[in-house]
Amino acid sequence: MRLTEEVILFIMFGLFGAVAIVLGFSYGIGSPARAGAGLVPFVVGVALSCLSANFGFRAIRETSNAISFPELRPLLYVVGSILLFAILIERAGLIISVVSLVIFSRLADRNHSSLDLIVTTLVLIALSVGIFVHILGLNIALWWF
Amino acid sequence: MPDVLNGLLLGLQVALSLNNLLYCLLGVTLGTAIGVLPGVGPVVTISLLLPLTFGLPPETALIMLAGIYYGAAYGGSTTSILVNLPGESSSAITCIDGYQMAKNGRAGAALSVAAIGSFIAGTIGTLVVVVAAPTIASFAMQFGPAEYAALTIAALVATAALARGGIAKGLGMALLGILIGMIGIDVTTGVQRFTFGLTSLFDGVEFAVVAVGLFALSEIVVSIAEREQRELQSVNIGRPMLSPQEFRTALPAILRGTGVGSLFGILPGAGQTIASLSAYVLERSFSKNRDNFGKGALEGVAAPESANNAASQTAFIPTLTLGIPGSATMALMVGALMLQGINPGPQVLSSHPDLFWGLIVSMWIGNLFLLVLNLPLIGIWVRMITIPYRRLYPAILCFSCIGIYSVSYSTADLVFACFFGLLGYLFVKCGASPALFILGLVLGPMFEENFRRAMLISKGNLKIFLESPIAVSLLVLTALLVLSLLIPSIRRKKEVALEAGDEN
Repeated sequence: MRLTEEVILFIMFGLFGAVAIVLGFSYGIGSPARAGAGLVPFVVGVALSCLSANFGFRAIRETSNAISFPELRPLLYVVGSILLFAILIERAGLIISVVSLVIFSRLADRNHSSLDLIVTTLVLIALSVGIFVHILGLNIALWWF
Repeated sequence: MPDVLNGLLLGLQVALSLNNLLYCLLGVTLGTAIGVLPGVGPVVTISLLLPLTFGLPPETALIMLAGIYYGAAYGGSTTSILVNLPGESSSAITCIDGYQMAKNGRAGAALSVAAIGSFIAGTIGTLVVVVAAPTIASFAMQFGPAEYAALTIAALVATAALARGGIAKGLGMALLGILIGMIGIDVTTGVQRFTFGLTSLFDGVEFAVVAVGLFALSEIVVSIAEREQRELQSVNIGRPMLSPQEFRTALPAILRGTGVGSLFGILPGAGQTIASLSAYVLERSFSKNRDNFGKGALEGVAAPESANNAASQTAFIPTLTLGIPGSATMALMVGALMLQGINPGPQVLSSHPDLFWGLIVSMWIGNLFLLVLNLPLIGIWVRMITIPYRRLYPAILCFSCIGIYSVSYSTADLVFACFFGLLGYLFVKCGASPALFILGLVLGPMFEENFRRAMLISKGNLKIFLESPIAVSLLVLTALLVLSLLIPSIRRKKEVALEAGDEN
């Protein structure tokens, strides 16, 4: 099956809709006068499932262009660099985290020069320490000690 | 009327306090500086800077955010004119004549007319807000839960109907946003919803985390891949001032644009984009030198820029008086209000008059700052436009990460931001509108609360929605809008209008 816009919407709406229906039901629908915590999620889930079905039918009937994902490399590196930042920020401090974030995220882009990278890193360390720690006074440790 | 005058006096007091003036100035400057960066529109700018305003008092935070909003919008016009690269769809139409003017060596005149037009439109737009907002707010005080539930539904469906890519996609996005908005402990029943046992989700997902993930992160991913090769010769700004004769040509266009913009800004959905587009089309049919349009007509810049800015002022009317945002940027404003512990709605005017009037007066001051600042600083903005993306995105990423982390010093928020970044990326790939998602996120809880309250009042009878004339007329109007889009010729016109705004 080709990955078209309709297929993605079918899967996305279907997935969220199913979760909303199942969990919404378990939270309790309640009575009309005393709506339970699950009523609105349940109704939203049903509506999403209908939309999902709509896109499912359209996916079968219409022949729209398949979607390509040329952004896979930047996507992986950007997400990876944020996760790396999340792991490091409380263990290694702000400066190491920023350095790793900048270097790792720059790999997302195929052409990079090392001088450019060093300058960008230094500028960003200065800016983040200056703005967030000194001006805004955020309580973030600079180093791991 | 004396109420309005008292209000304005109070507003002057708030807005002219040194602290608030400084934050307004800071907001406008930061907004412009980030707004001129290629590929960074107002929504990304506001999401990015949202965490910075957490420590501020509510009125200061809102004044700064509003400043960022105008600044970013103005920055977007600057890139439209100088490098043919709109920051958001509402300044797309400015590219047509603005970029032609820049190519003819008249970038200075184009920037001037954009700045002056924006200022005049901003002044008139603010006046419209001053007159209309208290009236609407006092009218909205009669709204009960049933009216509010109907209003939120109407706002969501109308926006979905006017969004690009069809109503089904738009509704789906809004529904997804509503679902995410329900994460956390349900206040009425105490049930944990969609938390999957994660303690970091008990209070729901932080609004700023969703905004940054959805708008900033997905934008970075797409932009790195695109690596737009912008043709950027040294831009010759030319004479920055307008001659009196040019001003006389531009003024009627500015005023007409302001009128169109003020009207469309109040409407939900593609308000600002449709405003600038209609103003341009209207101007072309009015103008004596019609043939010059598309080749660098001064009015072709003046009208849409004025409309755009007038709309961005009047868009505050539903946001401030009803708590119902009409666009993604306004949803961010409502989100910022809620983060400050203020429930948006008609009661803001009476319970937080300092915030309400301070914001209104600061709107005008912000526009004044823009006018005074931008023309002299244009050299700096031009230099910022030329920053290559490979140096820019690590910076955006870095500030996003620290900003998200600083919201509640939680690394889980960073992981959530990645999730919303991925989701936002999928939205972009499907041609779906993340703006509707964020609207759903803001309006969902509002709808649920009011719906449940209405049902409690009526003892479970849905008739309560039919017994209120306001609720009925809102629902009927929404239904008519949706039905009208089933007529092929009207739907085609809508799609054409939105696409014209997008492609240019």
